[in-house]
Amino acid sequence: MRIGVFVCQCGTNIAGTVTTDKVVSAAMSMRDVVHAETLQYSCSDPGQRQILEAVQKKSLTRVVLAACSPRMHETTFRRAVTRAGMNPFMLEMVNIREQCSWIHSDIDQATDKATDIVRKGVAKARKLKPLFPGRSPVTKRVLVIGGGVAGIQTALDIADAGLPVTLVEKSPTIGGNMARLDKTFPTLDCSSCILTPRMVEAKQHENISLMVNSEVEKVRGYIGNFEIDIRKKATCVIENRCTGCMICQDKCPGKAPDEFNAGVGQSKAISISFPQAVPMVAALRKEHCRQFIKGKCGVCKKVCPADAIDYEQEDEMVTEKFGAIVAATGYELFDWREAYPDYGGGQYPDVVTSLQYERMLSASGPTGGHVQRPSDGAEPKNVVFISCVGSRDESVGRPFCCSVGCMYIAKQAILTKEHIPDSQSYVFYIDIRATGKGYEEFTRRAQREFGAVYLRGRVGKIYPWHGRLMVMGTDTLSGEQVEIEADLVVLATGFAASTGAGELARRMNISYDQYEFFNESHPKLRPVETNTGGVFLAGACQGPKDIPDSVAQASAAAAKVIGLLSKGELETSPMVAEVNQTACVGCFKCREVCPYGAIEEQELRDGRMVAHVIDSLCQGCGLCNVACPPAVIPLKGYTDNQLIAEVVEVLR
Amino acid sequence: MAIRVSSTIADGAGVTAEIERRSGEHISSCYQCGRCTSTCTGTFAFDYPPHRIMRLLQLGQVEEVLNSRTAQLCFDCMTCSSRCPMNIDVAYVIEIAKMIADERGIEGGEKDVQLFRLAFLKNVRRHGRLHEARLMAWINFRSGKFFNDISLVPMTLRKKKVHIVPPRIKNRREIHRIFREVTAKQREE
Amino acid sequence: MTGAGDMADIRDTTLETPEAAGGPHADKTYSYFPGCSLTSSAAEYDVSFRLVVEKLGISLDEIEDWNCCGASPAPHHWGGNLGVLLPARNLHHASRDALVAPCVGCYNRLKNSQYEIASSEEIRAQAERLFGEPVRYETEVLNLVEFFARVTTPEKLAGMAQGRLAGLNLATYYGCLMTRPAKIMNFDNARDPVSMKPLLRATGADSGHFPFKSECCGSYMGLARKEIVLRASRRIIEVADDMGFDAIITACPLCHQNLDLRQGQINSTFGTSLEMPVLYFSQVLGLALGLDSDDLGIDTHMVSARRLLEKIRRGADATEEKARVS
Repeated sequence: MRIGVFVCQCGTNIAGTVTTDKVVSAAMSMRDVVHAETLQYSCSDPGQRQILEAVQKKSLTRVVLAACSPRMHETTFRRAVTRAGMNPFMLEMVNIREQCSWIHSDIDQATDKATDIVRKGVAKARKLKPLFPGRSPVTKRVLVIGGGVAGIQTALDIADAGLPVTLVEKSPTIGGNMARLDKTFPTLDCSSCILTPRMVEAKQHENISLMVNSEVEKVRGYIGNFEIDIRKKATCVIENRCTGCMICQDKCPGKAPDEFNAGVGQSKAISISFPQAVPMVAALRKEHCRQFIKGKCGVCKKVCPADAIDYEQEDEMVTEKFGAIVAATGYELFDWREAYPDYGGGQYPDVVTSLQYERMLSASGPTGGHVQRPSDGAEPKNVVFISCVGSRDESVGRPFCCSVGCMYIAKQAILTKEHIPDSQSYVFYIDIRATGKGYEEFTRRAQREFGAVYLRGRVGKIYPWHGRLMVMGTDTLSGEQVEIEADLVVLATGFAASTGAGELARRMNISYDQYEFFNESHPKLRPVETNTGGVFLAGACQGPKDIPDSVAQASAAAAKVIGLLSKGELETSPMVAEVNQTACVGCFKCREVCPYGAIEEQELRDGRMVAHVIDSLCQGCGLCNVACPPAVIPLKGYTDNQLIAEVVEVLR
Repeated sequence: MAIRVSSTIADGAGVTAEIERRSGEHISSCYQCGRCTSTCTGTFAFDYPPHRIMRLLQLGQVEEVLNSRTAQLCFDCMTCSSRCPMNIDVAYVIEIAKMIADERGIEGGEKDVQLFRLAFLKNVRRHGRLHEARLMAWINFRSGKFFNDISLVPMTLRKKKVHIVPPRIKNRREIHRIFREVTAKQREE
Repeated sequence: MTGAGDMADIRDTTLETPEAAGGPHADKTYSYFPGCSLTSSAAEYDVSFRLVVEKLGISLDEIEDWNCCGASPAPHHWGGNLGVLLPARNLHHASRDALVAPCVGCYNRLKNSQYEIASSEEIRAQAERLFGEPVRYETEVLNLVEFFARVTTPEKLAGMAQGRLAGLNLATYYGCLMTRPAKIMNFDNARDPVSMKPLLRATGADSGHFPFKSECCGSYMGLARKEIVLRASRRIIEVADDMGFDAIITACPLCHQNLDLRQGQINSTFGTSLEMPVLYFSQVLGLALGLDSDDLGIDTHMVSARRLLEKIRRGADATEEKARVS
């Protein structure tokens, strides 16, 4: 056995607290160690070459590398020794940075600890065995959850690469929040005009199958091999018969809240969300439907010319296999009413959210594009916009910035002036965050060309006064308390993750933060991956962002997915469990605890039934190893002998 | 005249640190949103509204704060504190500034308010409870506003809202002891 | 967080079940701290409170030889711990498990004092030196809304009130001191207090949203800087008037003074013609229980409550008429 020890200095990251020369000389005195040296940056090109040369010159059979966390560069170093002709799993990497030099300050003690860590690594290295990775086939189909602009973009990109995509959307139409916008900043493009062609393309693409009114219920499996249950909710409408004529909606006597229009105006129990819905198919909401509440109505069924109504329709469960998942579940607006009683808490009809105002501005909205006060239908003269309602506010538990508020307020102020030329807009802001292309200029336009008055300060209170609303705020730039008699107040309410995001994350086994936004793998370098292999993120579900960023992320996620599935099979880690079948007693406790269903029964020649690990399914979690009473199912790369050798060495 | 911030912040650091220590608040958390000022009851009478007091402290201009009318006048309605998005108890910061100003013997221009407060407490020290009639008479006399609130007198007398006879508690000695103990402690500090 | 949720069965003189009362310090006799205002210019608050308490069958035990709590000037404008020690003497002499202080100013100071004493060994030592024995400070301090919520329930009150105040719309005005500072007062929701509503609604009256319910009336600035009080109080009354309320309901004698006593000054200073009656919470409960308005001291207010009482009388007549006819 010829073991080589390499101690990395990592510049001053390690060398600043650990005297690597001492560690090297200690290593040379360890049994079976024939080579030991220190490297300045072992992960660098010259560093790797040095390791390679040493392996070849000294005919090393095992390598111990003391450096940073294996999570950083273990793969790099395994590849390096492979190039030198060694089995990659004959390399043992030990951490003397995150677990030693970075957390201690006493040089002598840190050096001693580093030496102990290296000793432990050498003890394990003596017990290493060569391992060989497996291969598993992947399913070349992709699931995209969420049909907003990010979901649509990622689905189109993946479908264009020739991979079949299933796009699942929980509401009756795709389009998400972008479909509810009137115009988009900074170009003032009509939102539906730029989005609906994409929506139609998504529906018609030969590689995309659209499932609306559907939600993901269960996710089984792992990267390359997911098996997913999707529930198609019953809408009482037969999808392929409905022509989208909307006669049912016209004649329906049952009123229902209009969710698409953010609660402005009312809708019916059976309806199509908006005139450009994709698919153009009606959906019935049983909780508002007289047929289901009172047991008698049936008007829609009578009037439907396509005979597309079926009250007996039931939920359908669909199970499909996929190789990768992209989560694009978007966002909702934070419900401000309980947190801001000073703004009326929802009691004043003329205090609306930005989305409600957007629906009023939209020509296809509930007011036909006429901006009017909800209380009396009059055209407002003074419109006040308030930024950061539920953003940058620790006192209501929402300290983060929504990143689009400043921009959409400027947009809405401009549109207000266009709709009502003799109106006056007032914008209460704290900072203007206008980071995209043309954004800063856009906010200047709102003030210069469209006369919006910008006041820097928060609003403390809104109260009703002689039929209008009095807004009490501050203009910190002049240092004064200010008051505005307003006809309409628009609140830029903060972003929140979509309802049920946390639950969905748990089903997909990905992590999420305290606001239920999904966690990316690395905030700088891996923005569209999660720590769960095979699950990717796109759009606002990962954090508040505008449309260009959502679209860019969506294409990035698509690229990752295409890369993942391009080869048709995945290399699986060889660090899997392996049953010692001569010693196995056939109790199958291992199978009981395995979360991946990777253990099966196998009959031996002598008729005994013993456990067998399916390599491609095993994820190397080690639960079986712990559960096995006679301890006969070791984890390759972490066998009991290897671990005990480490412990014994440390205790010496 | 430009404020040499590189000097003022260093010079004011002592007082700012003391205010932070005694109030338990972080002055640097304030991002000047101004919501405290928006509904501050006394702003129109103050020289510096609450958000500006915070800014002055952030820039080390502690003398302006200690000498401000705001520090003298603020009557603790705590509306500012209840509205701060960073959960800063702004009213308490201003009160600590007032206490430091008092400890340094800064008189300030709000004589009537100081008079009222002292007269109130001396009145309580004398009787153990507040004798309102005496308080009002004393204040009017000392401030020279003899006819202040005279319009209210007929009504208040008719409706028996004012008592000429002072309310006196039995154990006034204990009250005097409290006042003495507190004053003694002040001299220690 | 304690709040209007602590409801209890009505205290019956024969009932002695602390569990049913809903609180760890439930007792059929409560210590009573009236405070300086209630024993002079706000006497009607004290009188009405005692009348309602008597009607509900509770007994009060006025704290022996109580002293002024120090109100707003004591804590910050003399120095040292005056603001803690003055109220502490009253806590020390309270003989029951729970104490009720109708004046919100006193309630605020008592609770603050309790908080400071509980969190500082130095202050406890100082108090011990002054009182000659370890200071007793753990009596539960209640404001009158909490107190009434504890000794009766909306259901019981509704039964006794028989909708006498139906048709009235009352603006609940909490002022500053009942809920602030939030972490010490620990009562109701500091940004959106609602604790008065359940009992007020039980009287049959409406109690709509009043956006100025916890804005400041100007506090003790009336003598020194009158314009602060006049401006602040003016807005409160004007908004209540604009929103169509019949009266403003308060629990603080200083707020009452600013809103009622000085309403005439507001009118003459600003040229307004406001006539908004301001009643104490206890007076409203008293009216609901059928007590006489003069007994409750409503006639001692500056702003006449004539129209409001007329509305109640008409409501009573209508009920009588209906009863006779049926």
